[in-house]
Amino acid sequence: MSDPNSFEEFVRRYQDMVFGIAVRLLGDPSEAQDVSQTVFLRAFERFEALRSSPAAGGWLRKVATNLCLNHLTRFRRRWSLFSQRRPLEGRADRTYEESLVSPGSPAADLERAEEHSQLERGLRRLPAHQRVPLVLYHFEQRSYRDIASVLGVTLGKVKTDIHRGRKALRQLMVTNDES
Amino acid sequence: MNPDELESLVSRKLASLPVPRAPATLLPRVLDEVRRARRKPWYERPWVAWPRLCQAASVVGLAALAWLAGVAPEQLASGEAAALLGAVRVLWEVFLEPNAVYFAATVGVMGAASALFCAALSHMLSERSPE
Repeated sequence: MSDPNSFEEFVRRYQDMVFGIAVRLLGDPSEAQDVSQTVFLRAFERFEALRSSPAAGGWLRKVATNLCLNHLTRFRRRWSLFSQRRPLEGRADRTYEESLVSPGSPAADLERAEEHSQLERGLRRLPAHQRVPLVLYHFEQRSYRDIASVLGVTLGKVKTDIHRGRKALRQLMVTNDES
Repeated sequence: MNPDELESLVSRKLASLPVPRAPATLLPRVLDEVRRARRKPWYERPWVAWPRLCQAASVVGLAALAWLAGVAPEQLASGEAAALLGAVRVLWEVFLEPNAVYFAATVGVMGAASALFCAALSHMLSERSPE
């Protein structure tokens, strides 16, 4: 049976990575927390093998990505209905956004943190069909072909969606620079 | 801005983003779920979390079932069924029927003893492993 103290240490070490993947793919901190919990429960079932494995991070990354994609597929109907909503209107999102900006930072750090916060927010405001391939491409280093295969869409659609997502993010950066 | 420049700009900006911090509530939630999972008996856990012995027994059992499923129809089809049934009948009449009650009682007692042993073992394991 696994030692719970070392498992706690394991969760502490990887929780930001797993949550980061989930929140960027799902665009919703509370769903990301649910998926992260499931990822760590699966890790607990295999903890004897994972605790000393140098591939533990890669395993967690892969399971987190797959569970998020399954989650999006399972709730595709609800997802398409709500994909145009503004997630930041939710209270949990505000709390998450605020956590990105440390109030005690010096001015430059604060400005950078604010920019990061805006970018994260912009990323999560993208409709899921643009955000998911964009995140897989830029954060998970997947190829266009791989993304098309994973999402079950055409290569052309992946390229178009990623391009539109990039344009939307660029627009957000320009707006931020102007303001 | 052409698509390549746009890709490069967005890549640079996204690469500069720090990894989002997990909320403080995630760790306690995971640990609570883990505690709950540890209280489950082994047979209610996923197969990968079963004790090694039970995993091995289940593999042997499945292999035996698969072998039976492959062999039994062949035996029946090749006309060996009558011989097989005759052997089973002799076995029943000579050994089992006279002692059926004792046999059933022995099987019952052994089953109960095994269940008791498994329960004691899982109780010992759950006591030994710290929460």
